[in-house]
Amino acid sequence: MKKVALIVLALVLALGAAGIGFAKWSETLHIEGTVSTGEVDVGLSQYSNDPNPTGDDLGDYYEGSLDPMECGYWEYCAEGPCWVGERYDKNVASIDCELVDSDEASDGEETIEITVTNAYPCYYGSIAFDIDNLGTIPVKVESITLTKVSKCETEWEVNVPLEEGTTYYVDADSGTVDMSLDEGDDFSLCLQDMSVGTQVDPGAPEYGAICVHVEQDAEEGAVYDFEITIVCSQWNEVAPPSP
Amino acid sequence: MKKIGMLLLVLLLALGGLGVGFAKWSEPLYINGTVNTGELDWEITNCSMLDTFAPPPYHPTETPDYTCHPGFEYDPVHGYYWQLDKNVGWGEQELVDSDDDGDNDTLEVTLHNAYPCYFNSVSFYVRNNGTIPLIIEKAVIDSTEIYSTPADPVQIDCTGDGYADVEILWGDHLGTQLEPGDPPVEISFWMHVLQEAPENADLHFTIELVGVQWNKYGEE
Repeated sequence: MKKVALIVLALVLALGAAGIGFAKWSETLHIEGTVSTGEVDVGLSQYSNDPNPTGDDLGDYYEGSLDPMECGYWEYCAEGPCWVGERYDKNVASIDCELVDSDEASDGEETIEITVTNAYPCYYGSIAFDIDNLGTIPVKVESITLTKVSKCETEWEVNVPLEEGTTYYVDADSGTVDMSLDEGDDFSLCLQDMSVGTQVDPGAPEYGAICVHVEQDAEEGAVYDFEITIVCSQWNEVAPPSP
Repeated sequence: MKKIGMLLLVLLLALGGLGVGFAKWSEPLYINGTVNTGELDWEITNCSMLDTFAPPPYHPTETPDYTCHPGFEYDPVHGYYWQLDKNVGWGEQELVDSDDDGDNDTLEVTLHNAYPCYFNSVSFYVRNNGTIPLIIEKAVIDSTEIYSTPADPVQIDCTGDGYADVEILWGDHLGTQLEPGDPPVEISFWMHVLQEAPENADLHFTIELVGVQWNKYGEE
């Protein structure tokens, strides 16, 4: 009888020990992470130094729209960038620009269409443009490239990197672009106030300008086209320009 | 075992590097330009000549020839030129579109049966039918360039014998500015056959009238 009681006691103790194991309290902690990425998004706005006057005949005097006779320079005025330079005493040609939303997936307009009308040798038209950072990540200008030139629909891929303050002469008959004025050059381009490495912070636009000069050998009644591509990339991935 | 570890480490770094390259965010902007050039173009619209009357009759006639003093000097009685009593010489003029661009750029003047002291004059109208203002820069008469008036008469040796055969006095409008579409301006010149002109010869001369875009006027 005593043996039986010992066996029962041992059984109770064993079961009790097992009972403690089942009752162990526990709690799991979780770390949930959310990464909200920013956006690289840039757009353009633009200003002309010689907009086309409406309602005036070619050759007429038109206050404020007299033809520029030099590249001049742009500075910020109360109403935005304003052009400073000498003008002729006539209004013959004009330079106009239009913003185009060429990338519907992003905000703003990504393309400026520049049109110079009724140009003649020694006409200078200048367009100032703002690069607006519409995203949330600072960007830097990674490259500025004259990609294409054409004359009357004969197109040339040129891919010439543009440097600030340098004049590039274009012979659109041969697709030649260089930094010296040669016989046969039709027009020239000069990039102002904008260079590779320029940083554009959200909400703080940076401006640059493109000056178009019609050269002596430009053909009458011709149509010349050019395309400049500016690539902006997140600021920390753009290598500083080499000295 | 150590070697495998090193290989894995190198692989990891290489992939990391690739990851950085792929991850760069960028967006291109485009500036597309079109330059439409204008056209410098002008034309001669009308022309008239003082004496276009061919004989006969030589005499009497209601359309006698004209004459003048050498060098087109002023005569207190007759003025700069005056009529004779016979109709002997005469002139013709024709407007020509020499480059087939649809407007007349050449004025051909022919004097017939001319003789020493014969005088004739031409007047013509020019207009700017292009899109760029122009200024009449100069008249080039037998390689003599005239930039302004009054100018001295230009004597021309048409035959190359060392003697001038014809003299021409350019009238006006050098330096005049023509706006696109403006009314035409009248230009004239006088012609005088000189004493050394050969008989029975065709005397040819050329006058070029040079118009330049207004903003290049006065430049070399």
